[in-house]
Amino acid sequence: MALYKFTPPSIGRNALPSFWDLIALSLVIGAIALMANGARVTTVPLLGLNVTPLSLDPANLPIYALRSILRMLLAIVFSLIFTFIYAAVAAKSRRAEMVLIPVLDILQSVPILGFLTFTVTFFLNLFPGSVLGAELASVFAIFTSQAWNMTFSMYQSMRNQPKDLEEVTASFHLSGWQRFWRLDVPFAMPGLVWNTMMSMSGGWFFVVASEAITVGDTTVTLPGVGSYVALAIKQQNILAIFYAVIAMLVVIILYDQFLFRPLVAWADKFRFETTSSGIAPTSWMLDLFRRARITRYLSAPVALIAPLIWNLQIPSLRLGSGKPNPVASPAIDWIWLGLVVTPSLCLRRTPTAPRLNQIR
Amino acid sequence: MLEQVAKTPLIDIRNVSRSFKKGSGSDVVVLDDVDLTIKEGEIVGLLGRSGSGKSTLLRIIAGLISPSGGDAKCRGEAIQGPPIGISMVFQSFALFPWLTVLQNVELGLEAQNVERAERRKLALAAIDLIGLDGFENAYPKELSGGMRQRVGFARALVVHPDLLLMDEPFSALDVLTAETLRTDMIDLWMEGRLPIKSVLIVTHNIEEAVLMCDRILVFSSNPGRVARELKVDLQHPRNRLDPAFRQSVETIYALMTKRPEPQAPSTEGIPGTGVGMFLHSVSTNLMAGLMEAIAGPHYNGRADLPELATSLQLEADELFHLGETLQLLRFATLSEGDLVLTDAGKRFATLETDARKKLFAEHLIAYVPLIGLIRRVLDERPSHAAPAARFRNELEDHMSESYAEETLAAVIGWSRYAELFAYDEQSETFSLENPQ
Repeated sequence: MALYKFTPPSIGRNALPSFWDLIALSLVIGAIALMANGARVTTVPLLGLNVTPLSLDPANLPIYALRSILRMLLAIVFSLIFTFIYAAVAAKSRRAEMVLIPVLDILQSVPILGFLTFTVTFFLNLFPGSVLGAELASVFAIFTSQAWNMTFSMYQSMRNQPKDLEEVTASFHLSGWQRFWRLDVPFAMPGLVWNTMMSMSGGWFFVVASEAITVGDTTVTLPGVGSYVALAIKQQNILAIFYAVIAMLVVIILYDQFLFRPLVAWADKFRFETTSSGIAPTSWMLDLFRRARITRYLSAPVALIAPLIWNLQIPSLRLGSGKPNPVASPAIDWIWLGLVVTPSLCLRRTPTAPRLNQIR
Repeated sequence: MLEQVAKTPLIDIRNVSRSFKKGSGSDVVVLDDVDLTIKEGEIVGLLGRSGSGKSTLLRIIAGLISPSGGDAKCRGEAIQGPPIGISMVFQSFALFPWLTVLQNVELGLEAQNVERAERRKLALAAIDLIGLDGFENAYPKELSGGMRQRVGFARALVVHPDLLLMDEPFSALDVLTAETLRTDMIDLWMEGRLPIKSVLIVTHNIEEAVLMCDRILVFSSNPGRVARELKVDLQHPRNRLDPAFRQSVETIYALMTKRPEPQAPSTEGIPGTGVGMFLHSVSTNLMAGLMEAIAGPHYNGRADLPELATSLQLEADELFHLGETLQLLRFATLSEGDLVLTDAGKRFATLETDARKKLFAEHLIAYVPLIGLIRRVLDERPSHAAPAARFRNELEDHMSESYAEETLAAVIGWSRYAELFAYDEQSETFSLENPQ
């Protein structure tokens, strides 16, 4: 029991921060400062972009890279939220699944770059005159390249859960919400982490495409590695392209070391194997934070709030959690199918409707 | 009030049946017209072979599946969804690998929204009771099988259920660990330290049932029915060597090997007839070994099944499958808990390898209709080859996919040994050509 009590370190040798604490603390503060800086520049007016046009000076590259990183990070966060909701609904409700999975399949095969013009207009109108609109449009474009395979991975994991664990959650009366955080998410975690890594690499392609946004006659160029590369190509500046490639490489390594490697090492505990086999992935970063005592202080609020969240008493949505009624089910299925198919047929018929009138 | 409680049984199952959809559209009945009552203060065992529907009955009581017919009641109310006050211990332990021992145990309390401090107190008490002290922070993969199942027990006990359901809780453990766990469990039960009122245990291990239960329901298979109900009045702790104990075990063995009423000439304990007969995939090595052992001087052609199970370290279920296959092939007969070699069986034991194969082949063709059929088809076809799918489809008209798969595996294994025909795993075809 004592192991679980939150014990502040006693006075003396223990009160001094250790080597690990110093490094961990500086990493945390550094990350917060970088994010704050990134957030500050997104709220400047749109006109400001024209005042400080993009320059190919390599000295600007770090700040450009930072902004690209933050965009991708934000897109990943949105992708994750989208994944949790979309995959959960698709996996829990058979009828939602009939619609959601084909839609997801279409979305992932349609070249989203084609939609970019619509979404840009939408986001620019959402925050008129502010860079925020353009930034969000860019984030959305990156999101569209990241979300789908993460969602598929999560959906797949949720459909392939071990039957005995499902029985445990049922027989111990876990609510749907508790089950989601206790079984669904942890079981999906290893696959989700790998797919997030893949999404991140896929996102690079869209970073280049989404940072130079053209709407009608105006071109909005958001500062970032992508727009830097675009400009360098336009000016045929080989040296600048070389700098950009180096910057990307550095960013990718930083992402790997500071985000994904710790994530992979951490997600290893969610692997569904009862025996420990093979070599567990390691991360110096994760080790560092696990060793640093300060992590306990920093994560204390999280450790306090997290159980409150997954023990929330959410009223059950009854999303297919009831057993299918063998008699009523097929009938409702057909009605549902009718509801889904009819509007799409109507849509197809609309253009021909005037002609019918003419004939009459 | 108290009398009222005493009168209403904890679990009341009346005429319950359950069927599952089969590939070809017709239903497979796994549980047929079963009655069961569980009162407070008893340990009830469901004993039967695999496929006798005992696990299905357990899951009906647990509210995990609903019966196709009949009434299932818990404390007088129809079971719809998992009832409050029933918890379950799983054969596979079913622990969450990403939660520590303590978190796993707390799971059921979390779902009941028990306050944090109270939750911890109850969980630690359960961990203490079940002998897991010091492992609170360990993850399941760091524990041995026996310790994992202890976590499973603690998790089930922490919610103080009225009825503890156990689904073959010891069958995934090694013999020694299983025995320790069983005796620990019985000791706690006898001392009244378990926060439960009754136990229902599903098992295929006859000695385990006699060791633990006050009442045993022996199931017959295909479809699952209660063949007999037995009371075990022995005092705990029970001694396996006690003559009364041995007598109970013998009785149950005899009951479980009793031939069903003859329905068709070739059934004899094996479900299905003709080509649609279900075959257990029993290795030819085991069959040969068993025949040699029984033909040996110790048994002289007649072996007592319980004794055989102990000396060969075989599970009762495995031994039954073996015995039935030998019976099907007319190498032995099962009667009254004994396995008796036929003349063919005795001859087999004395022969050399090649002669054995020849004898085995003759018996396969003569007594396994499916093998006869495959052989005929191969002989008739000019190519002397036939896809396995042809026979699999035919089998699936009579049984579920997984049973058809096992039957085919049995046929392939046996005919390979007998050199009757060849099978190519890649193309899934039977053929007569013998690779040279």
